[in-house]
Amino acid sequence: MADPGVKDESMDDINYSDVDVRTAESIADAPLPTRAKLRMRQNLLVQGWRFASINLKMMRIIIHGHG
Amino acid sequence: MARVVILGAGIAGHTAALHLRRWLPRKHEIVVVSPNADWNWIPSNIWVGVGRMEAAKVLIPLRPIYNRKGIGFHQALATAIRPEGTGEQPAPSVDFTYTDAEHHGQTGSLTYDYLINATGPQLNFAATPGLGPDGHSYSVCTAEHAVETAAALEKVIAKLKAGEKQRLVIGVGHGTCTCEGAAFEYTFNVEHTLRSAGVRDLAEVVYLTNEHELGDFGVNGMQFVEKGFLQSSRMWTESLFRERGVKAITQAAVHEVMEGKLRYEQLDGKEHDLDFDFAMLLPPFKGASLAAYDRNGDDITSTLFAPSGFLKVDADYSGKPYDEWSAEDWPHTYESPAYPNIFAPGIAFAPPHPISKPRKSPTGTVITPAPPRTGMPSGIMARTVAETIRDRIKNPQAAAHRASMTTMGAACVASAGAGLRDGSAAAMTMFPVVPDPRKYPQTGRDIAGTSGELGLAGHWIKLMLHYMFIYKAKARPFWWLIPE
Repeated sequence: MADPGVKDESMDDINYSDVDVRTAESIADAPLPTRAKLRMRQNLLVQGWRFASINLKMMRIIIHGHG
Repeated sequence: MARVVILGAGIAGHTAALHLRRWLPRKHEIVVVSPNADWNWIPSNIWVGVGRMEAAKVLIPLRPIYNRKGIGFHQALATAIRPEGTGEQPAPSVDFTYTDAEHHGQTGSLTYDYLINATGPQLNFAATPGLGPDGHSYSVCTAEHAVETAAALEKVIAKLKAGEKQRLVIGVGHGTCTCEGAAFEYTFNVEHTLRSAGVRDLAEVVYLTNEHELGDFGVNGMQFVEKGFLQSSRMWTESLFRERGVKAITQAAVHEVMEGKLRYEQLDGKEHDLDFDFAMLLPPFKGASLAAYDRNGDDITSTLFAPSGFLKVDADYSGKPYDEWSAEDWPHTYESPAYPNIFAPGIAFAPPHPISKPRKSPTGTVITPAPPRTGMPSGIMARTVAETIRDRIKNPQAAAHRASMTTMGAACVASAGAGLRDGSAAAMTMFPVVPDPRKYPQTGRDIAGTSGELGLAGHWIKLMLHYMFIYKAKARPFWWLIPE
């Protein structure tokens, strides 16, 4: 589903070059997530799993890194 | 009986006060001196700044907590440390000026056995002409600033709804700023808010930063493994900028903010002007304006403090060149070498050098992020200092506890939009905070402990941390089970 307020096509049609050409070119070369990847980032089941996984990573930092 | 005086009630000061009170018998006195009546959960100021959260939800009145726990509290601004006491009074002491309505402007003094300087940063808007709420840009550094910023953003959205194009510039307002992560968060929360309001098409969102490249975050960037590849935080961050259509200006030092326009210099020495309709630019930090005097009343401020105003601790301040930096330069105990009963955890300690590679433009402008030392590291340092003081009150010869930023990790959850179903955040972990290339030759950090991912789960974690740390700050039952 398209986000409200955003043109359906990619945001790449925005002209970046008027602010910082070097950074604009670097951004334009960055990987663009597919719609499937974006859906996964918002999918409740997938994100429920990621929530548990990230918490475990944070616990690892807390256990090994608290001084 | 011993008295521990804590200057500041932010993450470091409040954490130290609560732990010391929990560990020490009531015959020992814990006293907090802070100019603010409230504790502020600063990470959530981002949501206040886009109108998604009320200021009251990020502020907690300190006095009722301290009354309940038996911690003394003076709402006052510390002005001077007298580590050798005075001619009349040999015990070390600290001077302060009250800021509460009842005693406003009155001065006071307290003797101490141990002093924790947890004064955090002074927001140095004056470093850039025109920067800040008294100038021509907004801030989210305090809840009050964030409320003003949210109101300004609402006006911008109204203009967009009326069909007027708007340029929003968000980032840092000086070449030596820190907290790029907060500027990044606010950028994407604004972008998310504009999309939710259905006005993204007419808005141009520009992120302006002193980072050498996106994803640096003042920690020299990170590398982590995804799908079997070692990838950089630069590529990962740039991907988000591309996906969300946010423009970026890197390697920039803002020199002046004017009405609707700012002037900045980049590392190549060239200056540029940028017009804007709305600007939220974070200020650089400096240490609290604290003076220090010896027993004769002679000024020893430069003995205790670095020129930046941050307190010198057990770090290597010899100013070695970049190639010679090592993990051992960073402090372990946060003790003042001049007066071992004074400590400075959190932002208040003077870092030995930046974490990101230092760079200067041909005109001599320093364009390098200062090292971040907020949040989780700040809390760990405060607890470590509290452990040292606890042990030394029982045994003055006890060794100091140690917690270096080169051996501690940090979790950073950078919101990219609020919403239980449509929110997202970048959840990052890094271990250690300060890279140690000798121990981890490949990337300077432990790859297994360094990660980053974007998604709704990150938002849930940020929200969970909000409620957990507010519970902890209120010192509710079993608060101490929540780690720093």
